[in-house]
Amino acid sequence: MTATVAVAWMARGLAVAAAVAALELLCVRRAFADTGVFAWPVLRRELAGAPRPIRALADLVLSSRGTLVVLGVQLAAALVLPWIDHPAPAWLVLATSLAISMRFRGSYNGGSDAMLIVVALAVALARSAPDTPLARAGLAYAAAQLVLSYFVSGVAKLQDAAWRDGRALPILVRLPHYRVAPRIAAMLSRPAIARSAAWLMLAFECGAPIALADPALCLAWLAFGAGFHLVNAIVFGLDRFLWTWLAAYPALVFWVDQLRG
Amino acid sequence: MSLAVLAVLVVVTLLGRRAVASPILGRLRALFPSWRFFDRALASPELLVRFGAADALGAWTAIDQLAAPPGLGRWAFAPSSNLALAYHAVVEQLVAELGELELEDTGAAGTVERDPQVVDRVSYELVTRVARAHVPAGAQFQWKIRVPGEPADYLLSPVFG
Repeated sequence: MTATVAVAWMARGLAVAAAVAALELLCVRRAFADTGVFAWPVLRRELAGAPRPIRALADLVLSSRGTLVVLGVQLAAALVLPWIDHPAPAWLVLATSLAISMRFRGSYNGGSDAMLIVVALAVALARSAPDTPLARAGLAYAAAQLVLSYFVSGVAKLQDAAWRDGRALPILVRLPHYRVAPRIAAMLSRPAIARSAAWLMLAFECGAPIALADPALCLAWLAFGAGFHLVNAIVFGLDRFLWTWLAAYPALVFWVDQLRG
Repeated sequence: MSLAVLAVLVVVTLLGRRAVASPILGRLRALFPSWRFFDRALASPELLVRFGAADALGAWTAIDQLAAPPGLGRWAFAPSSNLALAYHAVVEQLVAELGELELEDTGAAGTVERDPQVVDRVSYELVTRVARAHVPAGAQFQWKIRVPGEPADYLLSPVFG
């Protein structure tokens, strides 16, 4: 895979991920209205120690109305991303994603916000300086963060006895805020299934560096990863992780081709 | 150069991580992902509300039980599921912040929290708003947080109008 093709596929994935993120927030815009949970007049109190120009800028961009504009810009930029090679839409997705994360005290949807920013930065760099070391560095950054996202998560889980002995999944599927379907929760709570699924996940995540060894291995590992995110999206409702991680995959394919092809 | 970027990222990510106390810097944390998803399989704090008339507030109910069940398409598009996760993050944030404080023991379990160090916090206000979002408009309500493993309720609010 060439860098140009990788960036084109990442731009398509980023478009979907950014559009979904913007549309989801627009659907629940009452939550960030001044009468909602994430009211800006409340959140801005945490910026009391910031310099006045920063507070003024935040009031402009992160107020209820400002947030609607930011989401509109993000949606528009996402929609044009696959169709034009200009770097501006990718930079706009990056800026708006960062603004939304800051609006919600650092993150609205955890790691998916971070990966959206990673992919947007990679595409923005690659389109700003195509066929240069900067473009390749952007793709390397996304590929590295992708591998690290699995590897760090796997190693961290491995340190918890609950993951090693199969108690973890039954705990997680019963956390009420994930609203896992009772039938699925019951199935994943069976000790044999819980232990097998936990070790399969640990092997997959800790084995992330294997993807760097060979292009064919990389594709197989990424196919498994796509299935992993799809299952997480179905079971836990983590849809944004599916879209943002898929958007990063071409960067890894490109780099493994470069290293081993 | 690209391999150098990769090497630096590996080192930075694997270094020990410190919590950022500043809420301003904390707002930039999406730029420094930790990637430690579900690294501890623990039950998490739960927000419960009760509502009704002031003298008859009804039974405590977890907010997740008051939300509509998720639709079949949530694997692809899940605004309400992700909002529920954001609400839960607010509750976890408040519990984490209170864990950092040195508060006086208020005595008996079930005491309404009135310490300004607690009730003046942005996170406390946000939790109150999460609770309000789960009760009928105009109803009086009260919320509490239950932390698994703790025998008594972790935090009890006054009745809000």
